[in-house]
Amino acid sequence: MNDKIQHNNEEDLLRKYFTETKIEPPSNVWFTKRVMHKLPHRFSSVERNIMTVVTIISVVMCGILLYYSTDYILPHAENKITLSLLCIYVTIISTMVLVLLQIIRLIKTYF
Amino acid sequence: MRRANEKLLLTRVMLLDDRNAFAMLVEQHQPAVRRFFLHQTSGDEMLTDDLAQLTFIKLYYSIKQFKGLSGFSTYLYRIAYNVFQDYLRKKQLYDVVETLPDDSATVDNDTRLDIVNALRQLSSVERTIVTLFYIEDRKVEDIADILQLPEGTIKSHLSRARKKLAKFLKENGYE
Repeated sequence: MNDKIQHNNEEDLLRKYFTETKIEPPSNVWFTKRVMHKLPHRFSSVERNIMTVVTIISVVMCGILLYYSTDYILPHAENKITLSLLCIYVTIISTMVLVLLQIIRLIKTYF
Repeated sequence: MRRANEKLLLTRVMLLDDRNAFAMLVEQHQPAVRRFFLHQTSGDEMLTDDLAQLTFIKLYYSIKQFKGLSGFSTYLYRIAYNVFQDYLRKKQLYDVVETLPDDSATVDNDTRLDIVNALRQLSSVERTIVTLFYIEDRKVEDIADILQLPEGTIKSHLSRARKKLAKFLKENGYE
């Protein structure tokens, strides 16, 4: 019984104390703007359209390069020196990887 | 009415990534989050604003994980609590915050000094629980959800904190 009375007294004391003394944060009109500035950049529809067109052009050019390399360069490989062939392979593979990365980046902008 | 409006804003943010809706959510909840941090950081306003900003940025990234099982403010307080725990871990300030007067705090009046001193009597967890219970007026079950602890543990922390604070206040002539 005494414990309960003591508990209630302490509860009343603390409720009264915190109501009287709690600290209110000062008004900060810039707070929301600062948060919004720190959010990740979102692509606008214009940026996304440009990116889509560039990616499509890259894919087409990559296809042409692949077609050219398989139909022209590789059948005449015996005429090329090894270093030239290596350069051609590295260029083709790098271009394909870059185009693939661009496609992934473009897909991400839609979600 | 406010809850319905909040749900509408949440839906707009989740489905459409609507930045205006997110800004409105930030505007609605920033006073409570900043007040929470202000009591955790012994009244340090700059640190409070930094941590509160980090909380809302984390909210933006994790808002799609909010399933609506608890209230939105409970979810937000959980992020705020985790942000503060991360801050303490990174700065290795557990002991400093709990036992030493904090020189960096911008304590500028008697009332603030009074409550800051009272809260310093408590451990970090007790301070968080007292802030949520008495200042933010959250229920014990909400606090258990925020701190991810059983309700019984929250009640025992609260009881211990209540006794410490009551003793401190009586010793300092507050009746």
